[in-house]
Amino acid sequence: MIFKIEDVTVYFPYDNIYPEQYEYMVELKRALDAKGHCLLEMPTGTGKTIALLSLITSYRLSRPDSPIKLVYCTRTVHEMEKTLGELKLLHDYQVRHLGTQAKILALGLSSRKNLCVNTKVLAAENRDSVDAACRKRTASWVRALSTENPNVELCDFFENYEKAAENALLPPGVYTLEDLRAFGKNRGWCPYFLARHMIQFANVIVYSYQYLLDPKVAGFISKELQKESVVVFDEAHNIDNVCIEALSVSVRRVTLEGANRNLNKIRQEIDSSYYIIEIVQLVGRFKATDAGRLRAEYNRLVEGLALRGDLSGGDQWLANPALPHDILKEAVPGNIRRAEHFVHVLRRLLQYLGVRLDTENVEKESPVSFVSSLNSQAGIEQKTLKFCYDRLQSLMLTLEITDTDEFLPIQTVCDFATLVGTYARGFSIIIEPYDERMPHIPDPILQLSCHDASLAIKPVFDRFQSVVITSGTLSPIDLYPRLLNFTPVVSRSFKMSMTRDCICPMVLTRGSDQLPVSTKFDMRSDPGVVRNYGKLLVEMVSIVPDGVVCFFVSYSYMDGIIATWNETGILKEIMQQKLVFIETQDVVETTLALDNYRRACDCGRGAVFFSVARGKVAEGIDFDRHYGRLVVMYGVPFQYTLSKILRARLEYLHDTFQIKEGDFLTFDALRQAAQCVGRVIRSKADYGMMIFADKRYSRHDKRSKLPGWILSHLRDAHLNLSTDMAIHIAREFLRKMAQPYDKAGTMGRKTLLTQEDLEKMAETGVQDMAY
Amino acid sequence: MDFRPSRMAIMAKHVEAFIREFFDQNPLSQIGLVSIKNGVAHTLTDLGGSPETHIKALMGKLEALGDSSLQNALELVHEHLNQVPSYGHREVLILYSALCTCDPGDIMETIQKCKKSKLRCSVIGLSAEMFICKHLCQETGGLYSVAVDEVHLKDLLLEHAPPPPAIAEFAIANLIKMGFPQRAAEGSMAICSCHKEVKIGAGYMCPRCKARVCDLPTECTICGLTLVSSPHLARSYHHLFPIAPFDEVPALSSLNDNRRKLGKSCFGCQQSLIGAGNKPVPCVTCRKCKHYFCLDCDIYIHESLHNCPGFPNTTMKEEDTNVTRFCKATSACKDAAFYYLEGFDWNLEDAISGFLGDQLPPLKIRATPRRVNEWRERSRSPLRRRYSTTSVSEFTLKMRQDEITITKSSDTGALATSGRELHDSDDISHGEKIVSIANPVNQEFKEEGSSVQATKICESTSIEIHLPRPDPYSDSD
Repeated sequence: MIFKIEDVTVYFPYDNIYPEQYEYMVELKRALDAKGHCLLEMPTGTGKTIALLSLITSYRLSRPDSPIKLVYCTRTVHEMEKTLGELKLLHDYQVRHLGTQAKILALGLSSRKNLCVNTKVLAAENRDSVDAACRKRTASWVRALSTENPNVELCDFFENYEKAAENALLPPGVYTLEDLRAFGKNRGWCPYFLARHMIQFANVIVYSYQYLLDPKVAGFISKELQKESVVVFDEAHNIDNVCIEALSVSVRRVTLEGANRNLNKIRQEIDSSYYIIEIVQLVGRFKATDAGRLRAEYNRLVEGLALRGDLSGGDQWLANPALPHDILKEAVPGNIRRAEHFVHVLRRLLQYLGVRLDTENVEKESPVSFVSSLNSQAGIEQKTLKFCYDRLQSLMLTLEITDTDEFLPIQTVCDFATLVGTYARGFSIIIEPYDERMPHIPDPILQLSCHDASLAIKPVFDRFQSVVITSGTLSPIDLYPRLLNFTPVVSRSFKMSMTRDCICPMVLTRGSDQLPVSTKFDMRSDPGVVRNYGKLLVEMVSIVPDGVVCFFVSYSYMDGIIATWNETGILKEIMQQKLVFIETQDVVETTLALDNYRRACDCGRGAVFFSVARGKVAEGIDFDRHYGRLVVMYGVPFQYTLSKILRARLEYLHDTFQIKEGDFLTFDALRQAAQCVGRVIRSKADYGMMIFADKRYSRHDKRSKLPGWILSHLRDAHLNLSTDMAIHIAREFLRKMAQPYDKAGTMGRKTLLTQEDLEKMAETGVQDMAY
Repeated sequence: MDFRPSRMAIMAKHVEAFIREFFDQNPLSQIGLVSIKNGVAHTLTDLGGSPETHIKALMGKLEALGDSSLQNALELVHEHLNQVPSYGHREVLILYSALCTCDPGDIMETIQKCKKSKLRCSVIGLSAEMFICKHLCQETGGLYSVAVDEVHLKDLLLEHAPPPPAIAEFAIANLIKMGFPQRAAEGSMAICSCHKEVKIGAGYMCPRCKARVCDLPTECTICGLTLVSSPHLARSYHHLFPIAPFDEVPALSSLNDNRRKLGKSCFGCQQSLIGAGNKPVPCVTCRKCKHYFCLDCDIYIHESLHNCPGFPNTTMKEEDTNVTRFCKATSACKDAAFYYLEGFDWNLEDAISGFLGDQLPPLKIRATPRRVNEWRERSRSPLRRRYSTTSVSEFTLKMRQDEITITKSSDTGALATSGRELHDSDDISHGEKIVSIANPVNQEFKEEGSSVQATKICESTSIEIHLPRPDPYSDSD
């Protein structure tokens, strides 16, 4: 359908539109007009993605003089593919209605592991080794060498791509990763480099958060994006954590050992370089050999790092971990300009870190005091530290090292050094001699943790005209601007218009014996609570058809409670009704369990899936339709509050943003809980029940932090239930939902709008819409 | 629990009602019952047409135990229904109380198998929607519903009693043999062939082999002839000729002349259409006869009577007058009147003399019926076999078998009228004349005939039923 929002003609590929989608578009359009950032919460299953895509592409079409670029960030490759699929549909629709002028170039970008078509490179097992295998074949010096030595293996796809040079272009269209691979295979061009090259011409780019937020990657992938871009972060409820992770480093003993080995290797390389020069001089044939390269590098470093870009063509693969504007535009300090001196500095740094790791106590330090003690004990000053990463990168390029995956430890250490040297605020260094939960096993870890999510995302906000942060759960919506330190022009939470009450949230506070249930630390191991939780599930599996999902607060709690249930025979009772599957920390095992869970749901056997909040399953797997008719959230998924890092972050938040400790913890726990229970409903035709099994949910401060679309269905009568009451409600609900219903909505509650409805609405104003 | 005293008891009660209603609506169909218990499916009763047998079997063996297996049940039902000729409806009605199914193999394959053999599977759930049941119904074209409470359950069950929409590819007109048995002589003692019990008086006699049966409709246990009574047959017709819906009379025109002229009372029940305070009661009018009806009568006419009572009085046709005259002259029932009149080409005198002289009408052989396709599309044909299965507390197997040959030709409203008459007056004596609709292709009848007389009667009374046009209300006739 085609309709107008103010002065923009919107092309929407479906015949009907949900009212909230229309409102969403209106708000988004206003934000784009204002060239500002916005924060939009809309429940899952209401077609957020298509609303976003169709508005932004239509906006672009209506302003041909100032073409905006859409940068769409997703969390996973799967979501990326889904987005591109929708975009394809939309693009076809627009081309059908507007002709070729609507043609755009849209592509997804992912790591080499997902895009490579070279079978030999793909044989490597993980992402880093695929990257390394690729570099081994595509680095400029390797290719230069191959002209002399035909035995050096090159990648044909890359060679063809290089040969095509400027002609290597993608014709307009929408390319998913699969399409890119097919195109690359067909033409014999490397899809990865082609995609990276095409980014500057593309109208729509879909890639992962890291490409924008992690300075290490963003530096060379996203630097060419123009200011007139619209950046969208989808499923962004965890964006603060992504930002923090991008700037946090942890160093373990293995890292140090690996770094030492790396250093030895570098040392050897350097020595051999000098050795060669002597031989060369003896023979009397001077040639620009390795030693010459080292000298050339030295000269370059004197002139300053600004010239870094010219170093060796397109081989930049290690960008500075600090944010662009924090990098000083000045020459590398004299004491690390020579390669051997730099190696000495690194060795001293490693020694110092080793000493620090040997501690018996937990230590917490600010970067400033860490740097000063480093200075006094190891003689490395702050400025030196700051340049570590760049210096290492330069050195490794000079030495023509391609096995980048082997050199990960030393990169981590330099990464750490640079961050410590650069940032004095918003970070802290925490050294723990052992894991809190297993105090008998010494596993020292040194963490540089970032507390300020706004640091990593600041350049994004500064650089682009509009940043859209959107998700199904952004409640409370006023906290995000504070955490990320920006001022949105639009911040709104949309409700879901429903033809029927298709979700049924319940707060269960008591077991069938009227004893309160909770996962509070002092109560969780109480046999009564464990038994009541078990009885709840036993009762529920006997009345809920197909799939049931349970979320626990942590792995250790889940293991404990399942073991107890097994001993008391509760697990056996559950298994009489449904098959039981459990998420483990092993990805392969979990995938297998999920697969079998789905099969059990499909064939009518019914199954229960035990999972953990904050786990992989809670974040990325949908339990829609019959795969999840009920989700039970056992307890409030608070973070491990004794964790030193969390404590440090809370302190920082309190000091800097005046966010109270409890507020933040509750906010974080509730957004995880909402995320978990939100898994069951993925479209309006779907239905599902949600049980919050903890007495703490009945308290207003907890409950009010749930997203609006759940709260609006949470009736007062369902706030303080015991097991038997919950059973009764569930039974009624399931019966009611099994009845046929009218999809379009009746009696003033319109939930599917046609073209005419929209036209009528444009006249009367959006506000009149009835939910 | 949700259904008191127990799901089983409630289910049995309503299935009993369903079986009766089913045979009432589809007198010529058959049902078989299957139950699921301990993961195994058992046959309670084989396909059969006697409601009493099924109900007895159902009440006798009621228990629920262990897991349930939908797959096993479907396999068993498939086995039963696959033997049924393909021109019949094969239906499975599953009453499923469990929330899961423990199957020995891949149930998806079984579902595909059922789909291939055109089994229409419907499920009534008792507690919540199950994906596999929904999938099954979607694949096989059945209905899936979940009962909210007891009343709803009853409604849902009875919804399945009327025959489902006909599937065009099956709509082939076939001829089958049928006997219209006479009621056995009162007071005489005989052993019935169905129960092997000595009974006095009650029962009917098979016109072919003279065996005694207790209930109609049924299949003669001796010679296998389908035995029905004429109301059974007649009842099936209304699906073919539905009455057009009545028009609502607008409230404003309620006071104008037209209404006054036609009288202020409902034509059906003679109740006044002017309510308290001289306010008009909402009413409807028939497009054809222009009579007014109250809403209750409207419902009654459309849902039970299937005939407009005002219709014949205003537009009495030649045939209709002939029928009445024939009845007056011979004091025979209307069935016979139609039969004779049709046989003698609607020549009243010939028909009367023929009837009185005990002369049978000449046998007519028609060519391919006209407009059969047109009729087929319109029909929700109950006049074809319908086999289906249900299950109590877990399963029932039902089969409908009502088939009759219809050669469609002339444009009379005869049957519509006769149908009405049958409904209006229940005093039709059973089997005054043995009317058999014989299969001219397969005349095994003759060879097997147990007595000469029966053969003769059956042979000579082979008739064709002339159906009116698809739309009996079109003004062209």
